[in-house]
Amino acid sequence: MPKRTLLKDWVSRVVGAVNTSFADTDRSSYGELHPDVVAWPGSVEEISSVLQTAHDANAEVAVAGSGSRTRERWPKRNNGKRADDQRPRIVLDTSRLTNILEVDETSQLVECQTGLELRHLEEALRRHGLTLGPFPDSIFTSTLGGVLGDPPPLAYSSLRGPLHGSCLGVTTVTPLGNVIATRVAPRRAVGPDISRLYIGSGATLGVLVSAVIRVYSLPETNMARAFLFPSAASALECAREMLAHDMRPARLRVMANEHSAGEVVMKQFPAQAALTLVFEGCAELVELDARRAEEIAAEHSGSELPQQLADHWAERYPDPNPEHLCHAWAPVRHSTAVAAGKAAADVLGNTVHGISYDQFSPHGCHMWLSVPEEVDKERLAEACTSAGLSPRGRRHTHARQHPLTQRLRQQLDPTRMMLSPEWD
Amino acid sequence: MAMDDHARDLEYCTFCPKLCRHLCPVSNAIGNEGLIPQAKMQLLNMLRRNAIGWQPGYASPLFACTGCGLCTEHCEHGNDVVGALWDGRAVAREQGIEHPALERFPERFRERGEALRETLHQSPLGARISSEARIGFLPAFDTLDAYPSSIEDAFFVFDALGMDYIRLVDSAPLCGGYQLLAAGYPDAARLAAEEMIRVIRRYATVVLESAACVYLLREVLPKQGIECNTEVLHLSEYLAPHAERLPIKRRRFAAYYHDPCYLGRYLKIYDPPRRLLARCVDSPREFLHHREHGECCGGGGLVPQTYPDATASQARRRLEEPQLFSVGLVVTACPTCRRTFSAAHGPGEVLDLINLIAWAIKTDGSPPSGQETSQR
Amino acid sequence: MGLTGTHSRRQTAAVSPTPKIERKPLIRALTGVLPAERVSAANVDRLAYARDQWARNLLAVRNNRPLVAPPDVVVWPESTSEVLEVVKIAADFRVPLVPWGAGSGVCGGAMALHGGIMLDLKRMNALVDFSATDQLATFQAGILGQHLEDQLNLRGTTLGHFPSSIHCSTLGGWLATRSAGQSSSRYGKIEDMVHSIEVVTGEGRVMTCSRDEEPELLQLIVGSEGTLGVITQATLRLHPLPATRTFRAYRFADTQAGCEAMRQLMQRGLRPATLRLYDALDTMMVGLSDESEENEKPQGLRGLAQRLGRRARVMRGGLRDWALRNTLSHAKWVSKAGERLLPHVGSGCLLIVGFEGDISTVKTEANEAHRLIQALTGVDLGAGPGLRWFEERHAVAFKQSPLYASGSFVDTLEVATTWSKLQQLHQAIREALSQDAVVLAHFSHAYPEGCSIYFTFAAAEAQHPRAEKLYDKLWRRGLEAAVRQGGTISHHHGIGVNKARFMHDEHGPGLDVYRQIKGLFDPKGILNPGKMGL
Ligand SMILES: Cc1cc2nc3c(=O)[nH]c(=O)nc-3n(C[C@H](O)[C@H](O)[C@H](O)COP(=O)(O)OP(=O)(O)OC[C@H]3O[C@@H](n4cnc5c(N)ncnc54)[C@H](O)[C@@H]3O)c2cc1C
Ligand code: SF4
Ligand code: SF4
Repeated sequence: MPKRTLLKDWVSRVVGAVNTSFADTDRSSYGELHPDVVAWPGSVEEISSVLQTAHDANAEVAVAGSGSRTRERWPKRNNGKRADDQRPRIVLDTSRLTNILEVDETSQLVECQTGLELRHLEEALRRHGLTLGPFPDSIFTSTLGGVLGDPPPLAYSSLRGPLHGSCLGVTTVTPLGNVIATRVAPRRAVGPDISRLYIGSGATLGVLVSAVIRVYSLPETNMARAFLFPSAASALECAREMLAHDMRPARLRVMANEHSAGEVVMKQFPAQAALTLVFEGCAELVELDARRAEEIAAEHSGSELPQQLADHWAERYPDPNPEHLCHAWAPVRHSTAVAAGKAAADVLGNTVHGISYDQFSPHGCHMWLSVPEEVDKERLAEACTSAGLSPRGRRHTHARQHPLTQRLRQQLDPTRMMLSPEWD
Repeated sequence: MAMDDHARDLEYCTFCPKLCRHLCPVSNAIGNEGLIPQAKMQLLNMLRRNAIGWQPGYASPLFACTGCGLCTEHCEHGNDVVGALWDGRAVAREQGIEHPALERFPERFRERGEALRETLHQSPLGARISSEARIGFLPAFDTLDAYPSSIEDAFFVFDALGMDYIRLVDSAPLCGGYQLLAAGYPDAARLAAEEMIRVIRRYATVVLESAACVYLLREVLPKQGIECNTEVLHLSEYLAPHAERLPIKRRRFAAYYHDPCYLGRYLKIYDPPRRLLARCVDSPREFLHHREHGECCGGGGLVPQTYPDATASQARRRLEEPQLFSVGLVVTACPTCRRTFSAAHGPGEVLDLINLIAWAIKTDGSPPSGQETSQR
Repeated sequence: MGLTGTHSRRQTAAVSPTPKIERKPLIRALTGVLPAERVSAANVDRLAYARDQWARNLLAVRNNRPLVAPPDVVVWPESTSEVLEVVKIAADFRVPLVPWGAGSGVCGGAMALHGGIMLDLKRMNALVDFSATDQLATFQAGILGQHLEDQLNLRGTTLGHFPSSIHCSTLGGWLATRSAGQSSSRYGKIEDMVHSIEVVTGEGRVMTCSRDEEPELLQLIVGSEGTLGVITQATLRLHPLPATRTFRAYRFADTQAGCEAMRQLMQRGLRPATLRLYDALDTMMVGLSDESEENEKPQGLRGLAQRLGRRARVMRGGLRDWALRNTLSHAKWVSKAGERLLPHVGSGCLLIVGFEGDISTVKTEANEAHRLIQALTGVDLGAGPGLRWFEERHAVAFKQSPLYASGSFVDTLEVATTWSKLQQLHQAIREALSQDAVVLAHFSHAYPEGCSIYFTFAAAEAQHPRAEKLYDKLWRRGLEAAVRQGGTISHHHGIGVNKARFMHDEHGPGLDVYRQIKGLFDPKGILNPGKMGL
């Protein structure tokens, strides 16, 4: 018991009493975590000290951002043991780490702490005439730390690449409390890229405190187009062709059946698949690309949908297959995309399901498979297997860690102090 | 030391960041850093500068050169790597270091020549030999060795063009000694060249199959003060002006043309063979690297004897391209290239231009011993 | 930015004294897994692998010391499994193993500093897989750059990677050093092009890392310069061969104005395949005109000697070498004079802009770029300089030999930073180097957020060890300036031996993470020891 009391004492000395809580209300708001202390650090130095303190006290540390509370499933405290035998637990809540440290308009870079929600960052950027890029709305409620620690596949634009790809440098604190600030340069040739290590690793290798992110001028203009195709194959081939010919739509999606495109559309305009895209950037290029999109679509028997519909899709740009809540997705190559869709459809048979393709690059895309919540999860897994998708639902950031990354984690965090959430 | 003549080139190569290495057929095939042009030149240079002393192993890289001239072609300094290496071979021999595959080379060379001469004189073609003609035709060693029917093809084509006055050069086959030079025997090479000059002096024109020999007679020997007034032409050069007169119906198939190194880079004869090929087939194809950039077959510079694997692998590599585009015929204008390619056992057919012309005059069917789809 | 300051603790490369290597049993073990002809301890081969293209090695060779760092034995594996066997033997014998691509690295990365096994990958040069649909190709790591590009061109595609060393470097070497090509502004650097990689780790495991599945490991191995594993093959992202290519050149008053144009161009979302800005001195070397009737175009430092020399036109041969040496040995004077004179006689700074790709896109992008640059006071010089650059883009490396042969030396230093710090970085390094060397610079790899600066510096000093001392001093000064200004110490040449001392300045405590990674990948420390400040 004295150990635990001492820990509380130390932590509040580091981050200040007002930024520390032992209150049950606070401690119970982190799901299964049930920490002994919640700390809201405000700086790298504070985080470093808390981690050192935690290390000395053999405590466990969970890093939690706002919004993560409901999504994450934390490892339970081992109930069998007497409270005294358990390791003390600290939650490091990043919700005070919301400062934008620098906006470099010349280099179009922003350095920002990781507790800031992207929508707030985006608002601030817009005041400078800048933007994070054409990413779907759903990701903007995440914190910067959230999208870097566990990059959602949707945070991708065919024009800009994955959002985490815009990260040029990070400041992290290792589990032992060392501060690592990677040097910021457009590209470097100075050995392994350490900053990549922290992207997608949750807080297992260290705490991401701030990051330098590439941002873009607000687009001069944008333009949406949508087409219907007689088959998923022709729609996918059209998408591939567009990208192979230098076109870089901000967004591109192929909806490969009626449940993904919306039955209304498919019934009203009989077709098997739909393709929607949005171009943005400087006016001349956008116009050119939109024109060429029409040409290439026509070559692949695509018929253009009314502008209204194209705009509608462009504006909403929801997660794929929104009506069907249970998703699986995985990267596929262009050459296997059609077959993967067919194989999944064969397994699912009459079961209502949506198939769509998103996150396009000239080399492939992500296939999304979704079924209503009530459908048997095993059925979905079976469909994935037969489609050659790894049957893991969404990417389990931490579970997916390669044995080597796991061993590195062991080295950096020998006492396994850093807790990692399991995702649903 | 004789190498001082090459001092500038050796120095420049020594400090060069290996800029022509991707072209060298020998090092590409073997993958050994010591066989790239820069390394071979640096080795010679360090020996020249006495930075290192001669050791038996130091000779082998000098023999890893087909003489293709690709390095020189690429080099902004125009460094004469072949010249330096071949002189280096002679220096190595002076040091008592002989390449094991080339022991007794001059003797064996002479014996081979005599045997071939004997065979030729005994064959029906022997009747075509004469020292009285104005125009003499001189087949190459490799032709006599491997493709004697090519000589018949040549005379068939001459006859078809009404050139029945052409005769085989007396005491053929003859060699100007290029191989001796390559083996590191400049003195023996000089003797061979002088002997050859004595013979061909009797003709107003000699038509040669071997481009290396043409190069020697036209470019190298005159610089050494050895001249003959005879006009020396390569077979393709001689025939090209008559291309339109050839009694041929152009065939509908594709063939790649491979530039032999000596005919191309050394003699700059690129168009005459192409003109002849275009008379025979309707879709002549070019390799990605052709004309002055044309890759070597791997068969020159005695490399088939010193680095046989390099020759085989380079030849296979060169033949991959026609294969990729499903073209089954490669045409060249050098019996050594043909021989090297054929030994590589590619799926397609390799012919000398003269075979193709003769066949095109003779028949209407598919090419002599294969067509686009034929497998060996 | 904020927290990315410099770190001052500097560590020298940890050189653990290697016990003398018993060659006989090592060779016996190696010939147990490879045919005898692919294992060599012959002096002729050890000589050929005794140095890479680090300029300091050239000074040694010039001084009749060609055996700078010979390996004990050279091996030529042909497959991943053979590489694995060799790595296991190296681990068993605890001898260094150095991966060798083509030895074109300019930092000493491929040198067998402590002897051991040199593993040459060049027999692993096959095209393993090609998909036109997916625009992906898999090559073994030992293929030479130009051969790789040829294979792709024959199949209607290109990698878009054109380092000046494309003729003399390998895919594995590119990946190991994070190489950049002349069209990086459009196609990215090699780390942007790689889709997946196969590597044999020092631990003796074959591992595949892809962008989709193990992005963090992929980006650890890329750039590791043979310290973590031997890259055996890689899958690369391709592009269709461009249907067209255009060039246009502009003149700017100074680099600042030119950089501003580059920045705006990149940030506008244009994707130039060529975007190169030369500083005033370099511009003079390259020349602004598009006259090509001049048979002997004075270029590079030879051009410098000619142009700065009093009787440029009549100089030939030995006289020219003399002028060159003289020019370089008065580096300080030349730099000062240059600075003072250039604004008056100089021709400003040349910017070359080139686009390639689909016809309509290229046309639109080129028009857009032209409009933008003209608005920024760029003076249109037409297509000539760009076309000439393209034609001669490989020629500059040929200038190296005459310089060394005449008793001078030349090297290049490439750094990068964000746009907002670029001018200070340029200024600082130029000042640091121009005390003792003639310095040229160009800005040739641009990104929306910043750019690299490529310095060429040359000095006249033939005597050993004075030449080495001067050489080391120049590098120390240059990199110290880079670190001070917050720039990265290397944009694409890597670290090797030459920059190892600065790894701590670059990474700070991050270097410890690298060391831990090293411990995992290569627990016995056999892979490329003595490099990268590990
Ligand atoms: C004239 C000239 C011009 C150049 N221009 C450029 C340029 O434009 N852009 C550029 O980026 N660089 C350039 N360089 C530098 C050099 O070409 C690159 O660093 C290149 O990537 C090295 O490739 P390489 O195959 O020669 O590697 P090497 O020099 O053989 O090796 C370099 C390093 O990588 C390691 N390595 C090599 N292969 C492997 C492998 N398969 N697995 C693991 N480690 C490996 C080596 O151990 C060494 O540490 C130039 C060099 C020269 C001489
Ligand atoms: S021949 Fe020319 S290109 Fe080749 S190594 Fe020598 S100097 Fe370099
Ligand atoms: S001539 Fe040909 S074979 Fe000889 S070194 Fe040069 S490139 Fe190699």
